Amino acid sequence: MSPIFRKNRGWLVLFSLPAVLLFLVVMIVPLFQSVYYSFFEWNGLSTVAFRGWDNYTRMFTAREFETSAVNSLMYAMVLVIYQVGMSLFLASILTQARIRGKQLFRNLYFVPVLLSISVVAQLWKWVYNPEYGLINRVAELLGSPWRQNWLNRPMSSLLAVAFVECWKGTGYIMLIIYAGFRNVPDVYMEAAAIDGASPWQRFWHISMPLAAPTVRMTAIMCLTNGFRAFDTTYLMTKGGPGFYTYNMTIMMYNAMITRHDYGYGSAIAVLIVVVCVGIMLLLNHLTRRFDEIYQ
Amino acid sequence: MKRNMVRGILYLFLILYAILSLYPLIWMVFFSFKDNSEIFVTNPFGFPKVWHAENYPAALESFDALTYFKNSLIVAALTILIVEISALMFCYVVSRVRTPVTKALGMIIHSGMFIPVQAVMIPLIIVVRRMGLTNSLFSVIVPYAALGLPFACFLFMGFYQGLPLELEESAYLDGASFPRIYFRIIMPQMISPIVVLVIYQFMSCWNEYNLALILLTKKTLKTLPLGLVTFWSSYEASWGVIGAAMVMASIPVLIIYVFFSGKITDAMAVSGMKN
Repeated sequence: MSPIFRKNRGWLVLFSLPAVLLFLVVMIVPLFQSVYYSFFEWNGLSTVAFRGWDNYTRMFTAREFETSAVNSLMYAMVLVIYQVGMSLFLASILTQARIRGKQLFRNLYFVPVLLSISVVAQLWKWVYNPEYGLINRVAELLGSPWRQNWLNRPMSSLLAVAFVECWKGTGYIMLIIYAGFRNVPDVYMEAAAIDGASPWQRFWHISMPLAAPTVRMTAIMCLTNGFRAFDTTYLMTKGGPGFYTYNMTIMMYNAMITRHDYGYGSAIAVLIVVVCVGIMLLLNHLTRRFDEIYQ
Repeated sequence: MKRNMVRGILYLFLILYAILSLYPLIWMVFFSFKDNSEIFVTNPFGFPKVWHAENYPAALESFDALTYFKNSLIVAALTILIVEISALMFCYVVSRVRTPVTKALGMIIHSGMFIPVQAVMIPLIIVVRRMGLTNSLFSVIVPYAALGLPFACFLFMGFYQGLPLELEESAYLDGASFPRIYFRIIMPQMISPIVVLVIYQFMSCWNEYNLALILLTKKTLKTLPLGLVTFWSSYEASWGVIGAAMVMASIPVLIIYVFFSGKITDAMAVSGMKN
């Protein structure tokens, strides 16, 4: 350690204090509090009563639990398949040397990422509108008598909401994957080209394996976003109609805001955290060979 | 010949996806200038035939745009200020002084990237209520700042590691004090990541919905995303006016994007490389 730091320990502490305090007060302490509250029954007013695992049993046996869990899982799957799949597809086209306008396309795909979710949700509610919506109108224009009430049917409502999240987020995921591809050293590609590898061979055998850690990162992001996603669903359907789009985060919202059932809400929050961290660890574990081989 | 056809098909895909990404927005801009009969009956897709620019003043008038804009701006500005200062100083210490303690602190803040916001929601509601912050924008500013720290630190650490230690050592030998060295010599070197973070943080604050929904219950404190939603529900029938509000709410971020698209996309691309 240079003397400048050795002699100024007081300043070092002072410099790191604001960030440490902020993070401690807003993230670390509440994280443990959530776990703690999940073992109590409390509505914010009455006295706190210890209930052991009651909140968890209540959650797992709740009427809406199974639907919520399945919907959250499906939502996450749609997100990861669509966003990572579409991003890989678009990014692989954009890395081809003979394609022009790379920057322009990336910028255009990114525009939906910038918008407020309130605007996006309202816009898509109208795109899906059964009478005047864009989709049904386009179908009509193409001569199809087929119209759908997209947000009002069991499977289609969940997919329709998930699609909106995909539409908004893909430009972001694409950007990350594209950056991953660009990090592959040019010399590898040139060497392979000299050896006669076709663009697609180069893509599959060089770019893809080398960008694998980035792709895994985006997959983790999409899956965990699926489980913690709240605003799109809440703004478009509030979890309804019925329980068609109900999910874990809506369940938690209703527990904490509608019923002030903080203990129960905390139990749901803990489950969401465990699932998200679990996904991250699991995917990292399943794909650990990428780290061993390529880094 | 075959090569050109393949290339044509690839372009076709790129263009189709661009249309999918943008047409709904163009449609929105179009209907913000139409009246209901044109939107619903005569001309749902194309350019407005008669430009109804009066939708815009109507939207401004009937929805408390100024309050919401003001709240969102205050929240964004103060959050940016807190995140920038605390992260800059913290990362400087952690990147220059490598002891087990600083390493652990760096790791802990980094791990914040993987904690879903739901994990802290209920305790935040309770703290905000207990501290009487329900009447203050600080009830979201402080959490936003904390949630912004992991990315900020990730960004700054990389830059600090690129600064040579000689910078501060020569100043130290000249007898400059520690804060003087930092604020006069080190911080000016960080302008570029500071700007990137300002933009990134502005966008995430400007659009944040989830925490604002549960923490800002008072009407006069609502930020733009919340205000818009109350407006939607009271004006459901008149698409043109709502469309105008949607366009206006999107303009600040879009303007920033037009000027800084390179910086924004770089920052975003970096944010995914966090492992």
